[in-house]
Amino acid sequence: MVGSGASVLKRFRSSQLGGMSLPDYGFYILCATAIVLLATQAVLHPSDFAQILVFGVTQGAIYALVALGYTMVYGIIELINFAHGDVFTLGAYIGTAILGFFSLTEGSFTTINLIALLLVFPLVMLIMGGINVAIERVAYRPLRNAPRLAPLITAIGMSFLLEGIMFLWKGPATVHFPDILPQASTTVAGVFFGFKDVFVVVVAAILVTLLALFINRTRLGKAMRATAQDRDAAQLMGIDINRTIAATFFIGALLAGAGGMIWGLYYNTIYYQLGFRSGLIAFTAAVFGGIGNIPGAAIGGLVIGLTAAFSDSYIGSKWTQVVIFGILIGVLVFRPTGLLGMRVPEK
Amino acid sequence: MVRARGLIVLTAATLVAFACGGGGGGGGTNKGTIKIGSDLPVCTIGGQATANGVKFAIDQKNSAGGVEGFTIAYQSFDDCRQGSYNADAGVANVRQMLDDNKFLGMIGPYNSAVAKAEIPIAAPKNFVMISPANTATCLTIDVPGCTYHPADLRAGNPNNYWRVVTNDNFQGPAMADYIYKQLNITNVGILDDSTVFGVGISGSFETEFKKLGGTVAKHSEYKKEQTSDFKAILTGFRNAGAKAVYVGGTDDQNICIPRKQMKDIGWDVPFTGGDGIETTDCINQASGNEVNIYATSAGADATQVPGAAQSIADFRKAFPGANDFGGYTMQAYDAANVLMAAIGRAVKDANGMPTRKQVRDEMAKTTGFKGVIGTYDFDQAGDTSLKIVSIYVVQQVTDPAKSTGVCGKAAKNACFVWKTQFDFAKSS
Amino acid sequence: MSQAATAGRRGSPRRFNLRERIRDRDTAVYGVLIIVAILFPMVTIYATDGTALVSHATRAGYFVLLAIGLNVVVGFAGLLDLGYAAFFAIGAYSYALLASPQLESSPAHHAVHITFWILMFVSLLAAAAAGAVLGFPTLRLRGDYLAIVTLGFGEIVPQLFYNFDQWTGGINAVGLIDQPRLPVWVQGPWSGDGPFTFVRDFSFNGDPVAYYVLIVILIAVAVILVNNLYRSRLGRAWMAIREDEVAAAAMGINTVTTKLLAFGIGASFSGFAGAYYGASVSLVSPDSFLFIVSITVLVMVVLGGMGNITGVIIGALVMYTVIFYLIPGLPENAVSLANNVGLGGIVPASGDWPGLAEETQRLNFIIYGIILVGMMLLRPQGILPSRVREQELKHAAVQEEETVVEQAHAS
Repeated sequence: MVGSGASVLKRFRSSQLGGMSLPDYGFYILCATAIVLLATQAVLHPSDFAQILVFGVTQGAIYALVALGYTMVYGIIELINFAHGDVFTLGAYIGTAILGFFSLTEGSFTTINLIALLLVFPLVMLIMGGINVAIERVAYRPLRNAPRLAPLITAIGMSFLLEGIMFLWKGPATVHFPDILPQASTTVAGVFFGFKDVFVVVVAAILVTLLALFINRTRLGKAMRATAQDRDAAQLMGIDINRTIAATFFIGALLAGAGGMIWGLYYNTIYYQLGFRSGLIAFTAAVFGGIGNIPGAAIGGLVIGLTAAFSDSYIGSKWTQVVIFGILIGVLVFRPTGLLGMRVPEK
Repeated sequence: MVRARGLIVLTAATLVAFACGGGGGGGGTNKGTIKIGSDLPVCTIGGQATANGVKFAIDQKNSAGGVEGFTIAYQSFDDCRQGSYNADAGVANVRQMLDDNKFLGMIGPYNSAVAKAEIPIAAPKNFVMISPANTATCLTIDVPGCTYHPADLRAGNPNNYWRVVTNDNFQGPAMADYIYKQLNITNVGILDDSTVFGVGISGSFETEFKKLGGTVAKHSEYKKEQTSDFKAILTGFRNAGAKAVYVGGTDDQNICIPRKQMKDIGWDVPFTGGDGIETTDCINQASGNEVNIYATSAGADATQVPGAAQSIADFRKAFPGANDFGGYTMQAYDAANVLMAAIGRAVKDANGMPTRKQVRDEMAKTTGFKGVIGTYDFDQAGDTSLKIVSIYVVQQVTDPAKSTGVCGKAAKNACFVWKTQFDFAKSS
Repeated sequence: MSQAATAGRRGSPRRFNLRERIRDRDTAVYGVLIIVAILFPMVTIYATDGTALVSHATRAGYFVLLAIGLNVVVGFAGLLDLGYAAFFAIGAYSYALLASPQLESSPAHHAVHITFWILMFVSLLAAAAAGAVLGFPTLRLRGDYLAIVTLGFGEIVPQLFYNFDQWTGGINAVGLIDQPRLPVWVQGPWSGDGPFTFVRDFSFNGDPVAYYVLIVILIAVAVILVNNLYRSRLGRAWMAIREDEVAAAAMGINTVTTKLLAFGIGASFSGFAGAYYGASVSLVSPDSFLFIVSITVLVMVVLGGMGNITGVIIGALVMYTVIFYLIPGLPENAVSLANNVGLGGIVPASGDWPGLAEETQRLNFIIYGIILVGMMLLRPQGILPSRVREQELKHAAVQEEETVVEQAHAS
């Protein structure tokens, strides 16, 4: 009975209708319904809608930065790096610790704040890059040829280890992150946004652009793409696989570190378990965009951020989690390649 | 080798157990030892400060010769799992106490959700529980809207649960009254943290606020591990016309982070809540937007009770740390003394080591007990006659020592200041 | 006497020995476990004058049951299930809702009280059905995608139990859950109750010894069932899929059905454990089935040795002892140790230092992490490895060495 059910599913999956399969239609219909519903809201309450759009975009920009790390690592070694979300949180923790050495003025913007920011932001990115490379070296590289489950379990273990370190360091309570950005804000057509909102989106956009340039224009970027496509062939072409993979982890963590800093500067409160949930959401974003696909991860991050904000206000915050993970399962079942993905995760 | 390893673990466990069993008896030359436990979330600042009150009361009693010749041994159980209270952990702690016949009563729990899980386990064994901080109404009184019933929790056994603070029947309404009449605000948004406490207190607030004639713009909920960005929710409140926010929840659920984000959306209205936000961590979470957080506390402010000054000073001498004293420390101190008084009477009844039932019966007879905060009588359900709710507000003060002492960690001068109190015993 | 025969005879004692040794090891472990299980309540009650350790053992018991179930999914079939707690939750809620006053305050307005002995199997079926429903569309996904889907499922299920509070009481949890009853029960010195007596119409009512007996029997049944499954055609199919899915499919194994069965059977054990959990704790709240529970059970399986039943039992017991017995006791021990060796200064909290007791309590995350990472790197086969699994891992190690050599040649 189960077997025949499976074949029904198979038929359902492969049934064609005007060049697209049925699940594809399902996927598009779901997307279209969501867009129509949102459009109604946009027409009925334009300023509320625009306000929520602002929240969604800022939230989504941060998720996009984290999602990029997931997607790059998955693209190259097909590992879901569970520890990535915690690398992101650790970035915020280290950032707040280093910022503690400066005599900052909170609640307003001074020259010292600016200097501290310009020094600490790249520093945290580099530190996180180093930490992530170390994690890869210690925990993942020895298992590169082990059964698939092994590195996945190690990744979960690393995630717990990092959370444990932050827990041991600062305890269970929320940790304050210095509030050092300009407080300027304005209201345009009933939509309130501050300097911080702009800051988040602009910084994220710059980083994503730089990453895209790096991947497409540099030698190392080319090596990464080659390794992601076919590791053995890349090796035969003389690409140093270990170096390329380490570089991928390094760049992924640069973005995660930046994400952590931005999160801290934007929300000003962090806690040790932040990375687990944000990591899962970011991963959902990566899957939504098509895992392994860099523009996909950026778009996925935005879509998931918007989904969270819209769900919070239109459906009810207690359903947000169900909606997001429902999307995750739905995408994997109906369209495992994601929005832009080309990889086929079915065996 | 492998086989041996499994054995070693088990043997080690047995040995540890032996050692524990043997160690309990050494109580000195007197009649013996009676154990009192506390079940509190000591991983949190508030929980630890409350446990300090219990420890202080027991240390004082022991140095004054104990209870009727018995030494009181105190054991603090922690009902935290991963940094926040957990009903399962509480149940396991109570089971552990029940398994040791020397335990004749406990102080706790701190959180109503834990009490709800523990009462059914302790009631059949006549195990006295006195909570210094539980406020959920349905634990003692069956009111409309209760999803569980006090009689069911006790399952036909005589009442084994008392509390020295008043319930949310009064805490929520006190704030509703204050907002409506003193702050002159008629439209609020309500946010709860999806815990038993948060849902309960925000419900009682909502009922009273509507009864007074106010409007509830929206009632939303969130979960700590799921929501970090409250701006969409808060904007929903503002768009629905709310002029204040009432939160039902506790700081360990990040309940005060919305306060910070209210500033980020440029919304400056009072932020109000129950005793779960009258804490240092709440002020920390509000970072940069501390002032005008209003909170209730389900008891009289010990610093406002003239007779309590000496006890507080003594306590401060024994526990000098900045976070050692909290809003429920003196309540816990009183609770421990009420329990020890009952045990003392039970010792006389039994002419020796009393049973749990004797302690329970004596506890039920408690009348006119003079604690530092006031004189306690208890009704059949276990509620105290002291029905005082205090209201505090965060202000920038010049001398934190003159406030309640509950101040921010970074914002050292943003402290809770006593504002007023409602005495429901007099008004009803 | 041909040469072959000689060789055979020469060869066979070695092979026989190896087999004998392995079979012996498992038998010996079972033997020790049975003896310990029988003596445990008597010895501990006598030694500690209380049932605290027996209570601990009953809680360790349902973890053992969960570990045995997850082992079918992860160890036998090689499918990583990160949402195992969801099935546990479904089992627990099935029992809790049908054996408590809860449904009286729901839209149904009628409390249901069905006996534990029936509901045990209802819970089992409910969990197995949930496993099949989730598995049906997703088991075609590759391993790590499946892990993510199960993880998402594990996050959604407790949230649904929370959100549908009209039925489940939401955060207020389902309490006052019925206790199992038996027409006859034997009390005796083995349970610390004095001379042998027969009790009629016995209610478990929180009696740790009764629950202990129940869970030991449940575990014994589970072990026998899983052992038989493992040796059956299905068990071999699982192994084939775990080792090479493509090859297994080529050999004519219906991979989807086989995986679905692993998923469903694994889930059914957690349904079993869920019913037991609901009865023994008599409180079922959505907060009791978070991701950490799934991970704890996974750690137990990995630690003990994926694929080996005795291994995961030992793993579960060791892990339980560490997490729920040693770590909670750690602060006290650390404090007394510090006081004894003259480091009393680090005990009290001061400034940012939260005090030694608090700090040691915070260690559990790190311990989880170290076990997972350390075991995978140093001893991926676990404490008591499965023989087949060990071979696989060795094979992988050899392959890795080969690649290293190749790389050395290449560069």
